[in-house]
Amino acid sequence: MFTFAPLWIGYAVLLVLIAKYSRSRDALLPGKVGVVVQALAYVATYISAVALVGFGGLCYIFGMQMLLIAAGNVWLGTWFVYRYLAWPTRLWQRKLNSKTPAEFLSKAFETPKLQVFLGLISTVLLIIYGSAVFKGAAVMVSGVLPVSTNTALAFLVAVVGISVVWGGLRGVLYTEAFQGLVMIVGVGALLLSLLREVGGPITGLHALAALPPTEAANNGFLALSSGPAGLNIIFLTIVTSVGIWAQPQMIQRHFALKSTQETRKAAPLAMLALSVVVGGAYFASALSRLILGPGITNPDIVLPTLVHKLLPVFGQQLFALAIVSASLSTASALLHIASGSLGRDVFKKHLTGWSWRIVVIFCTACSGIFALKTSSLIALICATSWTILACSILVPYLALLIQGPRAGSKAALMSSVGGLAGTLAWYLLAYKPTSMGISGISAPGIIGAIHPILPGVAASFIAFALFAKKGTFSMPALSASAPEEEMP
Amino acid sequence: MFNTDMWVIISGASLLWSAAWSIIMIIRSAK
Repeated sequence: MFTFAPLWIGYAVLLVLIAKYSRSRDALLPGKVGVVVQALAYVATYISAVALVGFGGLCYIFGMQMLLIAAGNVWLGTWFVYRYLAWPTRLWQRKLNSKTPAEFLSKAFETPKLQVFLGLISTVLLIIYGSAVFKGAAVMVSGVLPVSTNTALAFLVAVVGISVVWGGLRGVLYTEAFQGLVMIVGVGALLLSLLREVGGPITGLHALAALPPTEAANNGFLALSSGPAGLNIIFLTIVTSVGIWAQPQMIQRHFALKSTQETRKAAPLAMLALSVVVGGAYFASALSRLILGPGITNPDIVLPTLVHKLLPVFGQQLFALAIVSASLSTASALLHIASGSLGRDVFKKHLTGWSWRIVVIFCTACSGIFALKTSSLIALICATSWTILACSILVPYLALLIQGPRAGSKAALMSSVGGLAGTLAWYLLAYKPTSMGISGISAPGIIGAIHPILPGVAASFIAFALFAKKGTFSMPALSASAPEEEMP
Repeated sequence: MFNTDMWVIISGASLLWSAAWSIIMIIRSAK
């Protein structure tokens, strides 16, 4: 296995060099970035290893119905974002001269408290979420190289930390674009070898359709399941495709856009890359049941087992690089936005030179330390942070893009606080998978299966409507109010 | 009838469509 050590060391050195030589003057702003880089960086930030390995394993259990998630990611999570959200976001950000999503919202609604509030929850949640991403990557590396998980963890944390310190946002975007390419190659190799093994896509689908239904795939492997299993797939689609709209690290990706033309060019590139990576990975993982048989109970080992069976040793290393790329691209985006949120939004610093280095080193160290710990609280935060952030940001963010800041500062702040409170309350008291372990109670029947993103966003919207200024929802106010001018 | 199979068929078809549409758009914008 040591023969592949140079491949991994070369990969790490390349990442650091890309970050170092593509940095811009401002650590929080992207400067000039090509449209291909923007599109690949968007996809690489979007897709973490959980989306590939974790959801790939779920495809083995649920079958082709997981393609609903891939389609949602492509159309709602990418096409819709570039069509309706990305350019208005960029216009507002430029008009307000803001550097972080929290600063952009708080300046728009003229409520400084919102910046501190969103900065604080972004920092805490994303550092902890980043720790899980690091941990997954370290386990992957220790599986293909003769090093312990902790050694791999220290190495990966150092590589990402150095890339973020040296590269700033522009460096992070370039490393992500490179990692996006590695992901396309790795998943493409797996998909092609699997299709060859099962005799092509049509033969594979026929064989999968012939398999008897299971408890999870109760309508067969080519249909949406009935009951809670099918509901779970629909909620996963909503969380990963709509929840993405309001993730700070994704909003920040729009800051690099230069014109509407660029937006129109970036969208198909990102959609194609996402279709190949997510669509390919899920399609291959669903068909993997034909090769692996019905005996696997732990979904996390499905893709590694499949790769071990299908690909030659070099191909296995390539796929491992793709998975680690998925992790590290997400980790670098998370650490960058967490550092920016802490320094800029919470401490109101300008973040150049040592102030930038110190916040990044602090956030990276915290993420690394959390990754060493095994705690049910950390695991819970990792599983819920995406939804909590979406519920805290989505309503004021969309309101700004749709109708401008007419609703006023109170509405923006209270909808953000209401979204956080609503989603936390649902996780703690009503949502069966989490609430039974924490409070011992849950909502009855199918209500207990409703994912917290729905009640969280509903609570946020109710708070927004209650505190909105008079006339906010009248017809003239609903006209699009994004700044009209093009970029110079 | 919009049965459970249709969800998967539409999802798969929309993924293929997105890939095809993206390739066409990329070629058009490169001209």
